[in-house]
Parts: sequence; C-alpha cells; structure tokens
Amino acid sequence: MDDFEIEIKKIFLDEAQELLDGVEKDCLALVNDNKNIEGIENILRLAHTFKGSARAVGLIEFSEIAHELENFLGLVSKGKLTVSKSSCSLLLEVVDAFRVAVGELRKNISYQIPNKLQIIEKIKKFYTPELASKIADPALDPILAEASQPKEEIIEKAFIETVDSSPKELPSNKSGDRVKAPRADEPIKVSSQKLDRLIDLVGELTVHRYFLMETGTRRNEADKSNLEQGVTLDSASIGQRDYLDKIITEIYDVSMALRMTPIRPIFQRMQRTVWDLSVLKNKEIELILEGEEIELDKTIIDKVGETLIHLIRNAIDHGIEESNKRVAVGKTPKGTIRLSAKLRENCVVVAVSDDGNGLEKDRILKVAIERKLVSPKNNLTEAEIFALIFEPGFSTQSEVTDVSGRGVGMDVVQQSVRSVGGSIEIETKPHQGTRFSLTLPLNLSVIEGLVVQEFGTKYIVPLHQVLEIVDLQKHKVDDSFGKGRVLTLRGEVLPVFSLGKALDHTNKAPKIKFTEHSEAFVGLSILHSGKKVVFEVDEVLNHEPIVLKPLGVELQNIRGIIAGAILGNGDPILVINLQKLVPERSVGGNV
Amino acid sequence: MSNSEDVGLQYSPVSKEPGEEAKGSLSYLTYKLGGETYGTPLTHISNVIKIPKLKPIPSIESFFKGVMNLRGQIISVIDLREKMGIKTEHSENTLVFIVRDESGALGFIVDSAESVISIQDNDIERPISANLRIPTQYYLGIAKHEESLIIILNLQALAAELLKSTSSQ
Repeated sequence: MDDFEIEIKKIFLDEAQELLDGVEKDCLALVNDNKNIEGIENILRLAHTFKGSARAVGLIEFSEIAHELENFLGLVSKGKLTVSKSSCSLLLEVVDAFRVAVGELRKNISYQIPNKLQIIEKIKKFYTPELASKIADPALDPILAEASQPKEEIIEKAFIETVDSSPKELPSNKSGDRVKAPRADEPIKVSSQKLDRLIDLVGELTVHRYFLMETGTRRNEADKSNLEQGVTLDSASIGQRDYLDKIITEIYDVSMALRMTPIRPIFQRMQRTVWDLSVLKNKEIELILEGEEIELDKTIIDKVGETLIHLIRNAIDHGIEESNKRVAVGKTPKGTIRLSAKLRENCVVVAVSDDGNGLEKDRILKVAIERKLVSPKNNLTEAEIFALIFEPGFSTQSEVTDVSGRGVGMDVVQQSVRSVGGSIEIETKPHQGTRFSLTLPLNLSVIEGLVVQEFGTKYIVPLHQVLEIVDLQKHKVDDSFGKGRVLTLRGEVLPVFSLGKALDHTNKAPKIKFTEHSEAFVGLSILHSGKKVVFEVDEVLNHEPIVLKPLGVELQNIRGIIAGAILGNGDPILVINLQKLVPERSVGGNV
Repeated sequence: MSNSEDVGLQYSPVSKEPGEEAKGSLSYLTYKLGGETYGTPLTHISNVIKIPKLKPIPSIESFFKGVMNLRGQIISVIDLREKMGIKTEHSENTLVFIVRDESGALGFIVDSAESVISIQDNDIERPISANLRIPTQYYLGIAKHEESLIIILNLQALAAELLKSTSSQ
C-alpha cells in the first residue's frame, strides 16, 4: 500500500466516524418515532455516502456491508418495511461493528472485518431478496441502481457528479472564480499541543501587557509632576497603547474559547447508553436532554463523559423501577431520566435526575454500618447518610449486576469529578427520584482564582470551589467540642482546618519558614462529600482570572497542589484544590 | 520584564559546531558552589538566569527552593549545594542554571558562574575518591585546569533523576 492510499484511508476513517455518529443519532430518534421518514432517509443517505467513500478508498468490505444496509433502508423508506425495535438494534449493532473496525484500522491500516458475512446475513434476515429486487429497479431507484454497477463506474460517476455539480448550481458563473462560501462554523482539527502553546503565549502576552500599561501610567504621572525623567508618551502613543490593550484582551478571550467544545456529543452518546440498558433491563425509559449547547473545556468533557455513563447506569439499575411497580405507585409506566447542563456564574452544573425510587436512607445506613464505614452510634444527618455512597467500598446492590455492579463505585465518580476541581451533590426524595448535580469549572486553562495568603505565602484557590467567604472575626472558631475546631455559622456546626497545616502535611523537614500566624481572619467554606467544611487563611487578597500552567513531573504528587499560574505582576504562584486537602477522617461521620 | 532575566550566558558563544570542536575535548561552564569550583558540560545547561522571585512549595524535600516563572513556564528551582550535600557557610545564590530534559525542566541555584573553558578528556581524572561528598552517579571526574581543580558534575543526569523519581511515588 503506498503512502497516498494510506493517507486517503485515514481521511476516510475520520469521515466514517462522523457518518457513524450521524447514523447512530438518527437510529435512536427512530426508536421513539418509527414513522419518521425524514430520519430514515437521512440514515439512507449517510449509509450511501459511507458506501461510496469506502469503495473509493478500497475498503470493499465496508462498502459491501453498507450496501446491504442500504438495501434494507431503501425498503423501509419506500414503506415496504416498518422499523421495529429489533431493526433499530440491528442498525446499532452494525454501527458498532463499523466503529470497532474503524478503531482497528487506525491501528493497522490493512485490518479486515472478521465477521463480515455474519453481519450481512443478519441484515438480510430483515428483508427478502425478492422484495429487494422488485424495488431495486435501476430506473426507479437511482441509489440502488448505482449500487449495482461495477465499482469503477461508480467512482467515475461520483467524480463526474462532483465536478459537474457546481456549474449546474451556478449557471451564471462559469468562470469558476467564485469562492465557495464556507459553511457556518466549520470545525478545523488542530493538535491540542499547539493550542496549549498558543494559550501559554497569550497568557504571557497579557502579563507583558500589564507591565506596558503600568509603565505607561507611571511615566504619565511622572511627566505631570515633573519628578522623573522618562520617555514622554504623547497622546498618540497612549491611543496606540490603549488600542493594543483592547486587541490583546480580545485575543485572550478568543484563544481561551478555543479549547471549549459543546457538551452535545457526550449527551448524545448517553442516548445510546440509555437505549442499550433499557433493552437489557427491560425498563421503559425516556431520556430528556437539556442545555446541549453549553461549552466546556475538552478535558473536562472527556472526564464527565465517563462519569455520566456511570450515573445513568445507576439511575437505570437502581433508580427507575420496573413498569408494573411504577404503575402500582401511581407513576407513568415510562421512567424519565433528565440530563441537563446549566451555566452558572463561574461554573457549569451538569445534572442527572431520574423519577425513580429515590435513595433509601435506612438501607444506605444499614449497609454502611455492616461495612464498618460508620459506627451505629453516630447520629448522622440525612445529607451525611447520602454522602456515604461516595465512600470507597460502598455498594448497596448485594449481587453484581451486568449494569452497574462492576466494582466501580460512586467513589470513582467522585474522584473523577474532583480531579477536574469539581464537586458532586445529591438531592433525593423517597419515591420521587434522585438528582446528582456535578458542579464543574468551565475551563481548565483559565479559571477565576481567589488569591489568598497563608503563612506568608500566596496561593490561588479556584473561586468556583468556594461557597462562601466567612469573616472569622465575627464568627468565632471554637475548640470546645473535642472533635477538632469548629465554626458555628447560622446554626450549622462546620469543621475548620488550617490551610497552611493541611498543605504541609508530611513529616519532611519543612524548609520553608512559614511565618506563624497569630490568628486566621478569613474562612473559606467548601462543599466536600455533601458536607460543608471551612479552611482558614490569613487573608484573601483579591480575585483575578488566571491561566493554569501545568507543573513539572517533580511536583505532580504534592497533595492539594494542582497547577501553577503566573500573576499579573509576573510572580509565579501555586494553585490549590481544597477538595483534596480535607483530612480523610473528618467527613462521613467516621469515628 | 525583570522576572526571568537571562544573563546572556548561552552556549553558543564558545562552543563551536560539535564536529569542529577539538577532538577529545568539550566545553564546560565553571561555577562556584560554596567557594569551590565546579564544572558542567555546557550542553547540559540551556539558560543561565539571575535568581528570580521564588514561591515556596509546601511539603516537599527541602532542597526544592520554590517555583519560578521562566517566560510563562512554571519551573521548580533546586538548591544545588543542598542537593549535593555540599556544606558550607559561604553562599551567594546569585544564578540559576536551567537544565532541560524530555520530561521537563529544572532550575539549579549556584553561587556564581565563572567562565566557559575547554577541557581535554585526558585532563579529567575519574578517581575512586573516598572523601568525595557528592553522590557518584552525578560525578564525572576532576579536571585540572590552569593549576586549579574543577569537580565535574553531570547536571543532566541529576535533572533526569529528579524528574523521574518523584513522579513515580
């Protein structure tokens, strides 16, 4: 195989992935509305494109399977066959087979689909060849007509078609100098490394901008008061400088938006998960999507994807009841899962809610006591009991099910959300349903950071983690409960930790001479495992947008330190994830 | 910007094209650590900068002196004397050598830089020295140069080790 052939195959693989996503989406739409002719025609068109492209790059197997699929879909679109649940399953199965094959081909370009005939036979089961041949009168059906022609001819025709098409569409413009208007918002693939480098540089640019602005201002003042000699910035230069400032601000905003991608593909993938599981568990479930257009950093989206699959599995397996049970308690037989994304000030809240049975408080507590996660003597609040499901080793389902009992618990979900600096909350009502809300940072590259000072060193705390900034001079911290230090805030008793001590948790000789503080003045309250905890710091200085910089490998295992950043004045600073600094034994009511 | 000021000591001025270099010799940057002279192959060092503002790092070995801003990159800075166990009263801590490795970059604090010299391989002795205080894997030998002794350190190996060992914890 020569380089060119490999290259075009690779291009085909990218195209194939998009086509498969499209087919899957339309298939899932068909499940809900099997009379949706538009959807069927859409799938037919995609299958046809797929077939043609596969042939053109010499992937005959792909095109043969796609051809069978097309025959079948052709019958459906002509109204000779109706779409059943099982035919949707078949379509999805074929999509999956192609997906696997695309994946394999990426690794090994000469990969052959092993069970090609099996798939073809399966498709054929859904229609009789006689029926197909009757319909497939070449004169009547241009798509099937094309399919029955020899390969070379098809390709030739395809080329002629594409060459011909533009003059046909634009008869008045034969000179060919008309540039085809780009489709709105056509995506371009760029390596993420290049993007990160750009974002780094833009971050630098803004820092230098700061110096330029400062210098300009200082010189201006010096000028006015005649105290210092300096280069005079005349009004034209000031105008230029201010214009430059505006441009830099815009470059900054635009480049920060580059890593942001809509959450839609992840949400749509969940449709597939719901479909697969509802078939497997024999439960009727409708998935409602909201806020698909919301954009998040690519890295966060990837993490959230895994988490959502897990939450949805749990909702279907443990949350939503069987139809007869639902009817018995006066609910609709069909369960509903709502997947939503909402933009808040500095974060995005992604929620999975079901109208199922709700979490069973007593059962959770019982299991937690059995597994020695809590002592029966503890008087836990409702929120604390629900937070127990995030404890490692907790799983109420005694038998392992195909769906959710895979040894991965909610603790993994929580870990994964925390690793991007987010948090997770549960709301649940008996017999009405459960809602898991993930609060996520918008972006991993730029966050709104709170600059705090502790033990004489400045740190950044991501603002989205902080629920509240508490004035510790007004609200006193007590030692009296014998369980460590606590703060009573509006009737709630919250544990208090010193940020400095939490950071310096090891026994390694501290070489930094922390200036011991007499009294912390400010408390930052955060939500950790459904419970509020407070970190005390000496001072909160200000908040500013910061560009997160990765730390070297040598600093990657320091608990609580997640990144570095550069402040507006060029000083380096470390960024803290408070979620990781809460001492292990303090939450969950452990003795 | 005053923060990561390059003192202009890059390896281009002295070292010629690798092929043109006199056979069997290398260019070394010599520097002071606690009053003694040390040298490191110039190719190990990518930049020499004035010691910038450092932000301390919590809960880490004490030879990590903090992080610095090197043109937008956050880099850990290490006290080379402390890491090497060179005990002395005398210290100036004026410069940072930046050493790069495929997995990252580190800064090493030294007292001062001396000069760039060419040393013949034959002039480097690799004695099994009993009273050498530095770990032997970072030690390339002792060179005699114009009546003085220069201890040759392998900063590339040291950086590689630091960038590897802590990551696998």
